[in-house]
Amino acid sequence: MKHHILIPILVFIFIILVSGTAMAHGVEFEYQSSMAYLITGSYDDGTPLSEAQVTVYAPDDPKNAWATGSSNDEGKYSFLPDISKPGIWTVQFRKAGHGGTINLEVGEDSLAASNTGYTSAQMAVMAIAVIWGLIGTALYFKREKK
Amino acid sequence: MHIPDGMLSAGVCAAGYGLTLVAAGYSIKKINQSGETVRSIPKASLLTAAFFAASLIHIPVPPTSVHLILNGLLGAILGYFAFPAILVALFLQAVMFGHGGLTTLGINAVIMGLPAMVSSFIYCRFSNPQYNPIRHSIVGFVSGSIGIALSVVLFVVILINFIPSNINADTEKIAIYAGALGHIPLVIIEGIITALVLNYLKQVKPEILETKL
Repeated sequence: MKHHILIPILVFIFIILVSGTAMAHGVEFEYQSSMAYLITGSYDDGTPLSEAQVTVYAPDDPKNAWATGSSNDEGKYSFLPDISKPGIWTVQFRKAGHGGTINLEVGEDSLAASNTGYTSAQMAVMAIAVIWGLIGTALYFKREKK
Repeated sequence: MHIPDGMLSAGVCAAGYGLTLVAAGYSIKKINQSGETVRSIPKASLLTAAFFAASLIHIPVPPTSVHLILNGLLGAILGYFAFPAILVALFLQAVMFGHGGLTTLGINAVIMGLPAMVSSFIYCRFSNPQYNPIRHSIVGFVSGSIGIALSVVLFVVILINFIPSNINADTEKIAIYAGALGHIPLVIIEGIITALVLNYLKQVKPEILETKL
């Protein structure tokens, strides 16, 4: 007889406990899409521009830094621009007087991946062209006068 | 060693162009007075090509790498032609490869060109017309080393004194000093290269080295 009374009481307590626990772990999500930029700086020989000081300038205030930070060991730096400020954002890497500046066009539909700099083949062609030009200059002034 | 665009204020860049104008003007005036302008253009042109290409030759100095400059060698061989040659090569490096920049062309010419003029003076002053291999090697080594060493000193002095206020000055100074120390092997390497090239030229074509200041 005792068991007939105890079982419903235990089931009731169990349900209360379980439902209470579930409510305590309730999770809600909100989401919105955003556009972060991951910038990788490297020297032209491929060495990462690691631990460089990075300065980000927003389009509405090109004099004062919007954000500052530093690149990681792989020369990477990421930031989330304020999309309410569309336009040209400027990011500068600097380490021991070396570095560079990249301009990023931040807008409503400006998701893109790109890079600056040339490939090794392009560099080789340009170097050969310039060297040949200078050798040609030397040969021109070296020619025999007739 | 090449300072890119955006690293220095407009005033410093303008001062660099001013000094470059004076140095280039003085060099061209001396070249015209020498009366050997046309005869010297071939070697100036070839060494401009060598200087231009040298920046593409990287020498690993862990944890980074440095590239050849060869301004001491240019100074020793070219004399007054060295500064204009370096100016032209720096312009080509800036527009073709992005080494340095157009706003910093003047300051980069000062950093690399003025030490070349010092090397030129040292080589002309101390190299003896009577060829002595040991003396000639030492003078060549010193000429080559002084060129790059003075460039490193100028580079450090300019950067340390004109660090912009929006970056961490202490971090930048440490990076600058570390970068300068990384160039010590290059000072020795360029000294050796300069000594070898000058010795070789002295033996096979000594008239190339008859530059007068």
